[in-house]
Amino acid sequence: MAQQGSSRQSNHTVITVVVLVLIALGFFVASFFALPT
Amino acid sequence: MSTATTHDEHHHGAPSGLMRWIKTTNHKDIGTLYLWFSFIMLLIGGAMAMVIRAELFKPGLQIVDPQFFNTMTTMHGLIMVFGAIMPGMVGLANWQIPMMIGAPDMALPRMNNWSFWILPFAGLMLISTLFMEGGGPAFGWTFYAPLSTTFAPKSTDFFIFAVHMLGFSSIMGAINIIATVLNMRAPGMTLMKMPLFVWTWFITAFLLIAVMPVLAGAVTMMLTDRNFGTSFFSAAGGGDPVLFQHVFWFFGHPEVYIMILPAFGVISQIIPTFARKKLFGYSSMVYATASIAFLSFIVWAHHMFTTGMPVAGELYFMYATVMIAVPTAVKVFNWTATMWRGSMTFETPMLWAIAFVFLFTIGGFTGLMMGVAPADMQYHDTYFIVAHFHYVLVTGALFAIIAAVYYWLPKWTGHMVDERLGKIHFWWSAISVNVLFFPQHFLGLAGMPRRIPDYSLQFADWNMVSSLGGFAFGLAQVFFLFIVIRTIRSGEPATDQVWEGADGLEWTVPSPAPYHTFETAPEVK
Repeated sequence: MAQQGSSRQSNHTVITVVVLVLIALGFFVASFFALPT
Repeated sequence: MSTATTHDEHHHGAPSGLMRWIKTTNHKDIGTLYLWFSFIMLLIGGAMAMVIRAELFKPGLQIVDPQFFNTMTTMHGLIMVFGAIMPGMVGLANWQIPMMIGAPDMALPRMNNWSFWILPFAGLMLISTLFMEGGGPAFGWTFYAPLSTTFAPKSTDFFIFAVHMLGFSSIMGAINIIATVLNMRAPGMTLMKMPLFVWTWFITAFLLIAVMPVLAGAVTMMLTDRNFGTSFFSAAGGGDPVLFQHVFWFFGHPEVYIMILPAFGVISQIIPTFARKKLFGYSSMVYATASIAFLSFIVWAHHMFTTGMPVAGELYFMYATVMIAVPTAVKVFNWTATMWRGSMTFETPMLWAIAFVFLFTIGGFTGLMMGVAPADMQYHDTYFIVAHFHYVLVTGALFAIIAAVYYWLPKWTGHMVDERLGKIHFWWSAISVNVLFFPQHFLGLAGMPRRIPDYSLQFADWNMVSSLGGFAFGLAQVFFLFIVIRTIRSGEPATDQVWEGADGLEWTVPSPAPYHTFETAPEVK
């Protein structure tokens, strides 16, 4: 469970953001490869 | 010492002046900004709907030329989807999620400020296209290529940039919500104890992160096709215009659920309060929401049955589509079961919520009809689909936002809403919205196409009825503005709990909610 204001919570937030940004970038890049071959 | 004083002031009151709103990182301020932006866009998009209904009041060309009519249908759709409904739901999320999970604010408050302040500029850029040479976008809110590439006006590049900005804002908002829900919950607030509004938004945020980048990809390909010589969507250069439809609907179908899942959350908060019972089937609601979200990714081509695809493809997309009825029915059943033998009262928010259950379900049923591929050949691109998605998005998503505003406004302002005015607004809207949209089913089944400014004489009567309903419904929302402003300024003082049956952390803080809440995390049992 999150402890508000702790450094562990801050690390978790950074990891969450990085993972979510990577997912978003992945979907953006993947949309260009939808071309039929 | 002086630092300490400043520190205290910062923590106990709201700063004043214009800079409060521009520089704010407070989730309540940002929620308020989102909600006002959403309402302004609702009025602008609504004004465009009035132009459409005025033109369709009688057969023949009446008021605007066909190109401008197409611009109005396009801009109305874009503004309502990206400007009114989505920011309205984000506004509710900003106000409520931290208070409902016992967090002092969102996880990333500065990004929250940025998410909001991108929006007015994107909205202005979109609207500015109306005043450019060649007019604004007129290719429908789905902006199919090659209408939006080869044959589009120059202003389309501004439309593309506006969509990029809107998408950026949504992705940042979604990241913020997920980071908040995962990392900021009060001790004891386990995931399966979270209020359903938080759950639905949490799942919606994942949908946003997955599909907004695909929308960004689609408009980026449009941009390069238009300006840099690529041929993603041009058959002449080896590309494929049908590809556009696939990429668009891979975004577009989950987008529908992005607008309706938080509405499910709102209704799941309101019905238990006024039935004075716990929500029936809480965990099944969570799993149903997740199932709907998953299925929303694998049904996109049901929008393209008439585009042409192998029979196996049609069968797959048909079966996958009608499967969505199962988790949706679980939700409708649970809401009904929550009301069953409850001590129900019918304050304004409950009236809107019950209307949602009835009317959204009508929209759901017509969706099933169109999910059946052979039947869809008949319904496709007629007024039947216009009726369908307005039942889902107006009596569904918009009604839920209005219900939520009536439900939480006493907590936000400290004043109770005048029940008499709220009920007038409700009955006025509920009757007029059906006069507006129900006849459109008949028009569609009789063969009237959508996005056309003129029509055959046999469609005249129901179009006139629909337009009259439209004008009445539009006027009702101006009355809503009056009610909201009146409640902000005056009204009976609200208690902390506000509603007798209300349960949850947001009802433990004073009304109006202080500028900062839960600076010390509450203990959830």
